[in-house]
Amino acid sequence: MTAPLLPRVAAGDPTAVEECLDRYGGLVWSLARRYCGVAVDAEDAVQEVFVELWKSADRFNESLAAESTFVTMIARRRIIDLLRRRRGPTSGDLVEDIVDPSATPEMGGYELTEEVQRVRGFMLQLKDEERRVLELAISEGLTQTKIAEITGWPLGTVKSHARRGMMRLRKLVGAESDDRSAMATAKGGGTA
Amino acid sequence: MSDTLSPSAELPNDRLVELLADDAVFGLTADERHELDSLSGEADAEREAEVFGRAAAAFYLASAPIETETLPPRVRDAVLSRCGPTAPTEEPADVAAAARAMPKATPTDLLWPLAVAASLMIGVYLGGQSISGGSAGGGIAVEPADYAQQRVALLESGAPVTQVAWTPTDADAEIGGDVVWSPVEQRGFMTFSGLAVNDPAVEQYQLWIFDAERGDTYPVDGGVFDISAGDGETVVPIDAKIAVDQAVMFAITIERPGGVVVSDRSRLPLLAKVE
Repeated sequence: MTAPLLPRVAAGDPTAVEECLDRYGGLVWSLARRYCGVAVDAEDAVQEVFVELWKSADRFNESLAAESTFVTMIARRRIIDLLRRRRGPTSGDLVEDIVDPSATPEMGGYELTEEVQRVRGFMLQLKDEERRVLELAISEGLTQTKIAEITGWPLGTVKSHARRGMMRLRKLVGAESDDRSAMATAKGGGTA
Repeated sequence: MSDTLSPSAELPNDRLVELLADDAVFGLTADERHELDSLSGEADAEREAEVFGRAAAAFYLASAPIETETLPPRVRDAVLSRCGPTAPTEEPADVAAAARAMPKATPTDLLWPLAVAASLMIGVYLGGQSISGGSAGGGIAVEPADYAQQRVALLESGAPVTQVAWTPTDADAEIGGDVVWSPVEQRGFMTFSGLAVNDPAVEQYQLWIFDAERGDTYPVDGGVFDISAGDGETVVPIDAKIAVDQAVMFAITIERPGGVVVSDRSRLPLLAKVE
């Protein structure tokens, strides 16, 4: 398992900042590209995400979540806030100018953690409609309105599926986090 | 698994759970955020928001393609210049000892957290006056007199220019000077008189530019600089690391050499608010 970097960032280790960019830059960039509609927004979003990440680094608790999950959580929140603040909800549709010709696909610098593998199992426990809405919303960054257009479901139904899916997912992930936290406490482990 | 989902035991309010779920998936409108804030006192909503946020993040990682794209070099550079590690390229050659102590910690009720600092600097030395502008160009010596001339030229250019005087946060401090900023050319200068000499090995001044388009939370780093012993007015060029759409306030903080990751705002000698 790769050693987490955020505790070093929180401690002021300057080398950890660049390592963190190397490890998670692609992840955050890909997320920003998915969620933002224009390239300039994606670039600004990446900057704001990392600023927020440095500020939040001391909140990272290894016993609760994998570092990549924490980074993704911060990134999603920051990007959604940015988009809402600047120009309202995005359609989530990528436009051509966001595609950087210098950007090349690569394997993520972060590990596909056991946690993510387990969440894949959790996803199978969601109803099809719930999983569909969450995939469009979380994975593709689409708005409720856009999802309603794509699926043909009323807006209220989209919201309902999203809420119920999230509540179900929260129970599964939350229970797991509680278990991990309890185990870490029992072992005297954990950070931050 | 049961289809009947009951809210968390710690969160008896159904509406609160709905808002937390909505927030994790889509984000909230201002009205919804206000409603969430009003309900959050009822339970441990902050912890629950974290759990919902982690669940959404894990869902993203589990469902998104494993392949990611490389962060473009220009974006990486922008991140590093705004919030990267300190990378001073050249120290001033002859920094005079501090003539007097730096201003004491200045409590302020400003609500903005200063964000991450980028701290590339060049050293400039002339006649006992050492100035480290925030320029990231790397060690190109520029005469302070040139800065003064460039400032005058900018003011006389006829282009729209913002000029605002510094206001010391310590009412007893006798610090003068101003900020001249060109939103069109994205450059400007600061002048200081009476600002305490600093020892760059111990601490440096840092400029922050508040942009109306970015809000108070994320001021733009305007570079680190030093004030050395000498008489008269010191002119320091502004080096905004990224474009500033509408400058609404300038602030000077005192930070460790090279700038800070997150300012604690405890030492904030000067503000210049654009009216």
